[in-house]
Amino acid sequence: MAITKRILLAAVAAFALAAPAAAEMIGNCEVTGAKGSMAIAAPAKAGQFTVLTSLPAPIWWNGDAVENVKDGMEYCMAAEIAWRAGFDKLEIVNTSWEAFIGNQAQGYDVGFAQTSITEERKKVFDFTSPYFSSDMGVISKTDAPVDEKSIKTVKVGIQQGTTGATFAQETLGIKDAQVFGDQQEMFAALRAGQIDAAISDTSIVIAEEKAAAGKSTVVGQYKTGESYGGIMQKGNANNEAISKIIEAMVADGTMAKLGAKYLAAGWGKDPASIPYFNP
Amino acid sequence: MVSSPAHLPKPPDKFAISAIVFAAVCVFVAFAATSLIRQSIAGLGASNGWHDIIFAVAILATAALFLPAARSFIFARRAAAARQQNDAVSVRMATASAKDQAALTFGWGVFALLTLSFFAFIFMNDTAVGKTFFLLPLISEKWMQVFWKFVSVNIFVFVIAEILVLVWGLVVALARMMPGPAGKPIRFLATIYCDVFRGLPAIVTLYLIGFGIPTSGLPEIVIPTVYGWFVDTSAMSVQDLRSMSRVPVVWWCILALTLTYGAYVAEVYRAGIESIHWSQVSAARSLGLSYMQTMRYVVVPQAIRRVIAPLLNDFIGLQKDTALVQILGLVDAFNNSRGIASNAFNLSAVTIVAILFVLITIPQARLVDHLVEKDAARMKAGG
Repeated sequence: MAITKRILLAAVAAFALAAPAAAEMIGNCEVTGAKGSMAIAAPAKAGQFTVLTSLPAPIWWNGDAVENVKDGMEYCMAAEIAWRAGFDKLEIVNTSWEAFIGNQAQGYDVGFAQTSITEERKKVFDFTSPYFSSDMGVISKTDAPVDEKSIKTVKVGIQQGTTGATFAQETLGIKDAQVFGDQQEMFAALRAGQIDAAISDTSIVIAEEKAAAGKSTVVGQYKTGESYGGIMQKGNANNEAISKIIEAMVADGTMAKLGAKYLAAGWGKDPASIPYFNP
Repeated sequence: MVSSPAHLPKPPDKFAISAIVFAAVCVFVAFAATSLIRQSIAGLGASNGWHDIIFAVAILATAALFLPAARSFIFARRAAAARQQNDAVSVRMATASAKDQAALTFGWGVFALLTLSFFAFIFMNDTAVGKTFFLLPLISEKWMQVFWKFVSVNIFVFVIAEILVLVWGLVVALARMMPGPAGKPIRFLATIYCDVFRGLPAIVTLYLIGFGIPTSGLPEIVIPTVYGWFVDTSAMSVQDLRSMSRVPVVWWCILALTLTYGAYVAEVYRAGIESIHWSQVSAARSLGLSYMQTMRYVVVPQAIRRVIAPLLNDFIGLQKDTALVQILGLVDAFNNSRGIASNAFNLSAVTIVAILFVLITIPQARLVDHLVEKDAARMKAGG
């Protein structure tokens, strides 16, 4: 079962009570499982675990360049997986979103970039078990919030190749959206007032609300039933082991702890408090 | 056996024989390549009689390499016969012809090999390469959509930008050439402008202008105020006001490209103006024309004629740089095709953009060639 946002918040309290033992660390992440409990024989690069992502992605990957990322939800998840797979070393490979989702990258074990599992993408990648359930959020300028109706008439920004783009164009029927290659340009355009609203995963727009420091606000979200999964190259021998580790992390509560520490704390608000729009 | 005198050329037999061998290799490659392509097409379930005819023609065309190879061989034999009779002239003629024919075989053989390997490359790996770049159903389905974006965004942007650049570049060029100590501050400013905008990558200028100026809030202060002089804006919501006063992103793109290419074109104009002999200015000034009149009626008209070719070259650069506007989220042909590519996990839509850009550039490149030739001819004629 993937974590939901309510469990996250419940876990905040649990986390606060847990006393830190003398911990093993990868980056700034404390790894809690047994090292090598689900060992991987032949990783993409020998002697280490290699994880692919698309930066920036605050809260999920804290830091604006590969060298600076030492914690964050997905980073620490990857660190935990590396640990349980038997490695001390975790390498981040950064790529553009388009290359990430277009299956252009090679030489990695698993890719985490808040990637929704869809049928179309399953044709190209093997996905891990889901680790987060995500909805579609709408963020707009704080001084000019959009609502369920006006979202269809204002200037909307979307990101190329995302489920948010498909949702805006097909489900909401928005035809003249501005289309950005990466999320930083989309949010830059929103801050600049070039667009009235941006549509992306709720977890992503909440992070932007925090980064925009009052200039932008998440005004609503749509229920989509989508979940995030890690991408893996099709037919790779390690895929099952990686997926199993994620399932184990969900089952033993590690995922909920990470969510509490990085997501709930990073967002500073409960995603469930955002009103739901009807498409 | 008459020993070959030192002044006679070496027998061309080696050339002739290697030409024949090379032709045979080419035909073999043609067989291999066409059968590979044939298999791939059969795998697609699209084979029909026409393909086989095309393959036969390709193999026959390659086999035509045997003609010059055989001729080379015949000439080589003739050279050998003439050598027997000590006919030095015939030996030289036949040897030269044999070598020519062998070279012809090699030249066209290389052409055939490259062409065949290109098509084999496309059809290799079960046409994976071809499907990646040239998936015809996707191309024909999306052609009009991408073409329309190309016309309505890329062509729109570069046509307007080119018109503005023509004017702005001339203004900057004239500013850079302001005469006398009084013109110095103007010259200084114009020089700084050219240095900065020629140094900045166009994509950086686009980013800084397209996001920077709106983020600074300047348009939101200026435009609603100006609007307010004509329209009652007091009843409007912030959102309405903003969307009404928003400068469409396409105009930021045009501004950024105009500033970038204005710097290049100013340099082109300046080169043209400096190429007009200074005696013409002296003559015009002594006839009583003012500095600006001299520029307007004597120097600039001649200068522009000389720089049309390099101007067009810069415009081709400008046209290609319209593909950068997507950094601002503007959906041009390239951005649109990227969307199609990411939905279809296939690059053929981007091929459409490549074809469109090449199609629009080729006539201009030929025009530039033609103008340069004409200019060179006129210079030689002393015009």
